[in-house]
Amino acid sequence: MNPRDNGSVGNRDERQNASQSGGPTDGHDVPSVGGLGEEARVAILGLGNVLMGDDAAGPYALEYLGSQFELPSTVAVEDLGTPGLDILPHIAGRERIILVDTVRSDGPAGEIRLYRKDQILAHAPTARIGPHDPGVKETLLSLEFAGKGPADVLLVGVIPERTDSTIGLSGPVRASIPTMIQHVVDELSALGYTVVRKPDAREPRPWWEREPSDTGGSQPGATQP
Amino acid sequence: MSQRIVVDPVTRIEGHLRIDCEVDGGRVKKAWSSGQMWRGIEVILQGRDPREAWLFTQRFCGVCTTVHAIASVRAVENAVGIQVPLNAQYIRNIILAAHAMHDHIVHFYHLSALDWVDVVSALQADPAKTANLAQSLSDWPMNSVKEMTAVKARLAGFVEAGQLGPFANGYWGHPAMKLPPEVNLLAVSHYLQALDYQRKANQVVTILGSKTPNIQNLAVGGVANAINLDNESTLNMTKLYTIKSLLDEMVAFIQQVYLPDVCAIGALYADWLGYGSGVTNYLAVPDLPLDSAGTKFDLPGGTIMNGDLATAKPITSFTDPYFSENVTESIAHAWYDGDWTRHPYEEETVPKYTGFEDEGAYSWIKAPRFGDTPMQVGPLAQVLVGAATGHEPTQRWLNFALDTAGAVAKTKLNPSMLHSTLGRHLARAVRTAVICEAAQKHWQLLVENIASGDTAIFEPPVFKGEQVGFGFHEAPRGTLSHFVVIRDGKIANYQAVVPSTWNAGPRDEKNRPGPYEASLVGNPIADPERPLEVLRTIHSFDPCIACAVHTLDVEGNEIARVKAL
Repeated sequence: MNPRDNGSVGNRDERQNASQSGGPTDGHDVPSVGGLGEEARVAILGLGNVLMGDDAAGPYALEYLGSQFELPSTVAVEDLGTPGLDILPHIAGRERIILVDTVRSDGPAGEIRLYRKDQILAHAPTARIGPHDPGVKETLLSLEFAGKGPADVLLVGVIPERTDSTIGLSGPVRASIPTMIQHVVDELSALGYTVVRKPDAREPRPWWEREPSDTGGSQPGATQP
Repeated sequence: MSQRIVVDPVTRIEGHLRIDCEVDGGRVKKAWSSGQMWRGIEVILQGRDPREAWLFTQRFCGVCTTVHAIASVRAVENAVGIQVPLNAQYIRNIILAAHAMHDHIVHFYHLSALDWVDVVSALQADPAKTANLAQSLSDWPMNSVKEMTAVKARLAGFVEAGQLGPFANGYWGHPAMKLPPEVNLLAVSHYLQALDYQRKANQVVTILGSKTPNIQNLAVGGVANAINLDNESTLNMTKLYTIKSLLDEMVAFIQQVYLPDVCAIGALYADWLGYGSGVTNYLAVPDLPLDSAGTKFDLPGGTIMNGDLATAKPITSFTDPYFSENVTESIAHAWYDGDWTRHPYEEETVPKYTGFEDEGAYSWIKAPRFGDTPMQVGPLAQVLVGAATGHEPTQRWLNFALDTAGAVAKTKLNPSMLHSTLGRHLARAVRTAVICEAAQKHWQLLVENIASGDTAIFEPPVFKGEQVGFGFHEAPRGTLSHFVVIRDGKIANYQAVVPSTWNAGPRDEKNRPGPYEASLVGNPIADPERPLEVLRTIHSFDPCIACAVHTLDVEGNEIARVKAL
């Protein structure tokens, strides 16, 4: 028996993406990457913890991107959570990386900051205690040292209002998501990719924002893709 | 005069692991381990469908995603009393094993090697002597003079360009750095190679889990990997053979590079077999189940008390009350309201922050205890339990490691020396060697089971009334357990007792220190301004204070992670 045959796993994009092939599924442009087949030259990587308020901005922005735009299959879109050094396999060997994340910077919540690779690498990394401490900067430095780093990186960052144990974005950060994604789309266009708006664009519906009561588990069969 | 060292490298942001040490006469006299940010993510799970808990728990921590997913489905399966099909066990096991291999390789080469390896010194190395040394340790094909010459040139180019790249934050030239230049060059060369093997392990998890981090193929009751050997979109022979070849490559790297490197570097720091023992009660749970019920395992579990292998007592099944009935947590020195010690099913989480009080509360981490006793968890516990219970692969690889390290150190090493900072590194490499063989075995078991005609992957759970259960997983960092109370199909209470809680927890109601705190006492400190020795001991546990927030700080000279427990 397949767990997807009885609706037990709910109506969540994470679940829908978990098609047995790992390939793209309906209404959500998340290509299979990092495993089989050819690697995408360009990757859009969303970073942040979806359970910690505005830290979800990166993953949320990717959900918004998938709900609004049609992307070429040669562009990878990956929600990576908070991977620390485990981000490395998702950057290694790729020509261009677009990161979407919250950033610490002076300014009001919701303001967007853009950085390039040389700006990210401008300062030395700090001491490390755990596996999370070395992150994007150390990974880029390691890959530069190994000769496997991307030619350039664009970081599209947003200043968070709150990053505590809550689910859901603050008003200012949520309002900035379309502009953040416009920066991503502009970067892809500048790199020569054709990005078009979906004729059937929908509201973003990230799985983690659904209320416990609408997760669909109690309605067998109601959530078939 | 005594001094106090505070290792709190990200003080500019809230929340982290903070280590305080009182140092007198060049030795640590007293230590405190403090988790600096409130967790409470479990609260988010209340009222949710137990079948989707794993999707949320794997977001607790961005590095330990897979392990929280597996512990969660096991807890709910235990609560509803279902057994998962064999294929599901094997598929989960291969994912867990690949994840563990990946995690341990990253820990050694990318997180802790820089505590022992002086990268700058590698510029003085003779590549021919380096290759010679490497070839004396193993037959790895990438240990050639040509390879070592190329790595040295690459490193020299980086240093000439005025940057040390990823190594810029090391304690170079520290008096406690003692490796000869050739060993340092060897380590840098294998650091570069490890980057590729990190990707290979990741590919195994991606093929089976659809995505990593945050696998997508689990379900309470099994997995979602439809099996049809002739169908391109399901788990088929092509994918299975891709997994096999990736696992084979991982095994070669672990057996011929990682384990020998740890032995050789460890042998040259043999004095660190004398520091860092701390708590010598050990806990490991069994893992890699071989049957649907979770009563037979490839990796053994159990407890050892007072460092005495003769006290070993096994934990034998997913339902063993010896585990579930003995776990408690104390909040006597943690920032929560009250001073109770309770079983996880009975816990509540009411924060009460007081600031850092040496004799009072000083951490957000609770203090877990096993039958009232502080326990050390992690690879050292795993290996000692294996050695004590006659687990053949553990004994074989442990003997290999002790012989290899002993040959380099020109002395006879024995298992009693493992209660130490260096012992934790050796044990981690031994455990990785054991796990990589087990991964190949479980691949074989999966293929044979499918060939026998069994393609079952799922058994549906049934919820009714109150259902209470626990699930454990012996994760790379040690024993991870989730405890769940379900009422009428909804989560009523959920607690996770994680490996770094066992190890990084504060003192308990009897003022007994946790493993980090105890292990630091007696450590030498050559230069309090640069407390490399503190990092050595803490890193040997592979701390991971469940990551909660990710914020890039480009302007502030750091890329920071805030963590919580």
